[in-house]
Amino acid sequence: MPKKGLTVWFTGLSAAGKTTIALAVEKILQERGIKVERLDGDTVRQSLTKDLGFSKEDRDKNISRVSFVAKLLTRNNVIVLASFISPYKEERSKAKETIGSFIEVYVHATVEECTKRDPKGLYKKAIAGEIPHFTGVSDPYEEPEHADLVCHTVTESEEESVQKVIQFLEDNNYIEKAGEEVYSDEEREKVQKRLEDLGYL
Amino acid sequence: MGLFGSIFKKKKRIAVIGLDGVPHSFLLKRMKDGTMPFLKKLVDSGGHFQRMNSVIPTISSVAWSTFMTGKDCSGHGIFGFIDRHEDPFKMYIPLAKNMRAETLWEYLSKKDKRVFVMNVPVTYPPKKVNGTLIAGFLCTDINKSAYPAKVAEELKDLDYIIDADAWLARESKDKFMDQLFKVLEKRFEVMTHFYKKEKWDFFQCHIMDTDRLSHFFWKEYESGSGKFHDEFIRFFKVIDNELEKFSKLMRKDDTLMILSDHGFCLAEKEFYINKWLQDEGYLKFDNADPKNIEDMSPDSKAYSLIPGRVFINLKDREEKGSVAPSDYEGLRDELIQKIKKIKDPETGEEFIKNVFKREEIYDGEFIDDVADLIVIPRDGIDVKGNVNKSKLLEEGFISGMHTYHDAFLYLNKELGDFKVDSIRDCFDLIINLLEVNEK
Ligand SMILES: [Zn+2]
Repeated sequence: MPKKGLTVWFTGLSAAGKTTIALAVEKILQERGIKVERLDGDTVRQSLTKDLGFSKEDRDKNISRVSFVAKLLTRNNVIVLASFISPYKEERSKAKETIGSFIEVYVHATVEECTKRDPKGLYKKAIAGEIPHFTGVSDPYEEPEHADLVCHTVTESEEESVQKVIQFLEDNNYIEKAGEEVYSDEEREKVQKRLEDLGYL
Repeated sequence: MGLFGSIFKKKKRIAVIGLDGVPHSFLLKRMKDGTMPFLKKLVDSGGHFQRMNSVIPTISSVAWSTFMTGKDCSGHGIFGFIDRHEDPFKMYIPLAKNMRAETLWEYLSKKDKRVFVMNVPVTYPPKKVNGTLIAGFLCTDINKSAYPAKVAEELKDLDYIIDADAWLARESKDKFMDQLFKVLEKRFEVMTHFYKKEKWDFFQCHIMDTDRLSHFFWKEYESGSGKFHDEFIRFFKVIDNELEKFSKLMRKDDTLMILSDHGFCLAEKEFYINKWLQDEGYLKFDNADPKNIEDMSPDSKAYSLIPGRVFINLKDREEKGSVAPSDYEGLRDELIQKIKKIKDPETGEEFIKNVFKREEIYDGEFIDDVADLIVIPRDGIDVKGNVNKSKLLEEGFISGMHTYHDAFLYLNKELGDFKVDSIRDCFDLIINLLEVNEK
């Protein structure tokens, strides 16, 4: 059980590693029995915001609908992992404002590196002029200045980035530390007996 | 006071002594009959002495969590000495790590105040503070009892005892009484040791032992005579004497606060509400000899945890949930109706004063984790959570129980415009007194 809901907002270029990190964080949280939901740019655009394109206006609409959903989930004590390129500062701060319990994770990789990775061949197409409004190529990406966390996916391993996020959630009391059993079995029995003797159980 | 003392403005300091479960009405009597002349002197020489309310449910862990956070249980997340995780369904003992709001000492630490906190309930495992924190009785291993950890060595050197052994009360009341005195005197001794040694702006020591005394000896106290009655009274003579010694150590302009978290009264009978739920068909078990609510059958509609916290076995919320969300409200209303009319089979008396829906009394962030209904009996009837009882009501071994309306607060200063209705107001009072109320 998460102690309180939170939206972890992963922002960064396409192919920077947002979804990869979010998927791995999701798995860890699920294993710990924590309510978690993922909202991902690619999947959301096939459903919730199918009607929208990539103009600034449509990007804003995309983010505001997603924020609305994230807000509802967060309010119900779910940890939401939202991975969206979300290139504009303004849209990110609007999302934060809407959702409330919100942290920003900047998943950082250079355009060069992302172009090299290019798992979906999008950068290639964008550079060839086949995709208009492509962040990092034909559209700007405004870097976060005060991200709560930065994952440098060029220099860090995936595991390191994921650990950073989990650590942050633990340190800030959003989730309990794993394996942090306070009592040994013997101690638990002792405490339980004491509470029973006091008539407290 | 030297020259320098008068030139520099003194830093505000406050020392708090918690006397667990000591009723306001009881202290009035002890001041009158001469048992507590020092307290009488304190109260008579100005300052502030009042009755205050506790919390619902009226349990020490909940009350002190409210004291240390300024929030009710729906805001701090500590609902009792036992709680349940709904899915997967599991019972657990809430500890400091389950506290979901910032504590007074965490807040003061952030404001650069140095704190010393000793033996307050729900402070185990000890969290980091700017200063020293010695955990309360949920700690079983003195080596793990303190922040910073090395303080544990000092505690061992001083032969500190975290808590009296309540089992002893069933073996020998004489021995238990002796132990209570020993633990109490050790508590004050260790407190004084740290008082002299520590630098602090906020100092708090908790006396749990008054609660233990009252649970096991209230009946003897109320009988008005006899060995244990006299020992009960003598316990408060010792406390009065220790308070006098302690206050002599304090600086003249330090604030002294003494308070309790609830009152006490005679526990005439224990009421086993799970037995009632079972008799009425709301609660079912798969095996004939259930140990606790974890053994509940999925057909159950409601179950209860001590004291009087009734949960609906709601589908999609509880692991074994079977009550459809559309039936939730109707079931709550039905239970309220019926519970209010429960009668003591022996006397025919109706003894439930009130049944609240959680949203009627709580408004915190974590209200979804609170019990769906809160059952309030009249004073004297102690609602228990046992699942293996054959009777609905029965006289129990433990003769004292908590009351809501009879906690007390003493302050060696006037309160001014500040109003204290319940223990919840103490958080604001303290940060006001320390002048760190700008959040
Ligand atoms: Zn208490």
